[in-house]
Amino acid sequence: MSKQRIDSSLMQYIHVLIVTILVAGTWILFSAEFNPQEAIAAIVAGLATGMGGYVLRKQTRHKIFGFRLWLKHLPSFFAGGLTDCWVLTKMLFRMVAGYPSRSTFKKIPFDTGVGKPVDTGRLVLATYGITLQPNSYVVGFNKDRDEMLIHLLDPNHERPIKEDIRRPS
Amino acid sequence: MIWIISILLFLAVFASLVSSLGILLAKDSFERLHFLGPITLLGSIAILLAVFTQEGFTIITGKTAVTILVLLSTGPVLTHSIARAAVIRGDAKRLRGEEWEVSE
Amino acid sequence: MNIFLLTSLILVISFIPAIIATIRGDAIDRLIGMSLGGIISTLCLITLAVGTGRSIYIDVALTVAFLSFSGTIAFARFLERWL
Repeated sequence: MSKQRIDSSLMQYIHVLIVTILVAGTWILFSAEFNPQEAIAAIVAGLATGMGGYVLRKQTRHKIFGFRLWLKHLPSFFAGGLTDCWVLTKMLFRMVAGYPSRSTFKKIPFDTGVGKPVDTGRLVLATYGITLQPNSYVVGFNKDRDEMLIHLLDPNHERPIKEDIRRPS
Repeated sequence: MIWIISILLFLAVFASLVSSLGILLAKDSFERLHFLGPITLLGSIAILLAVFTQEGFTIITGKTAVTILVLLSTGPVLTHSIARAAVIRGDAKRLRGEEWEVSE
Repeated sequence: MNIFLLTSLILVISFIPAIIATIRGDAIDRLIGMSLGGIISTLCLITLAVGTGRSIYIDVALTVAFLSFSGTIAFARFLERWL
């Protein structure tokens, strides 16, 4: 328990550091020159952004969640999206040739949870990942019946959702 | 080197043509919404790799990477919000005869 | 002629279907056309900047990306219940 608490507070400081480095890097990148004044301004801007985010998270008790899940599943979503572009090209040829379209709505069982931060993270990850693949997009969630409504252009090339996104672990 | 850049830029142009022709030829707005995908994903990644192959680690590549990151992170949000607006307006019932409920 | 400038020319040509989708059809169809126009113009400005060798144009591309995103989100939010 105490180790977990130490870990989460350490994660918050690492988060502030990462935000500072990213904002300062973007500042220097877009100022297009590098001298000491610009460097000081960049570090001050980065620290202001990182500390502001830290204070905001402290006040609203907002936790950083689901980072590991995102890191685990994002590459497969990108790879699936790149191969789905070819499916869309085939469907475009079918459309030009005059065949009837096969696009349908589909309901998928999806445990929407009870409103904890982890559940919100899973919902956002599922929405982003499925919509990133061009063959399918998420229309919405129905929280009363625990299901997700998606639209498919070609139902034969549907990709199933991973089990650890669909249910809370 | 020029061959790699040519192939990558050809992929980007191909993705943009697929998107445009798909939006022109699709049957209704729910099918049309799928064709925002190829140019957001394949087109932007191919152009980023082409710029990196041409310029190396310079300011132009960094700025391009920031812009492409913005495009990649906002593209799915746009698609999802437009689809949700269409279903809430009742376009699914008007176009396909199906009725769906979506909660907040 | 540079190959990046050629790419930006073809991207401008593929802008025409977006304009056609924007000037006819339903409200949602017009919104989709506008969103596609924003993405294509961003990529076109990037290839133009690399082709002419002026890195200052990429700032314009970043601004166009952000503004087209927020504009489309606002329109989608308004089209949910009214109009």
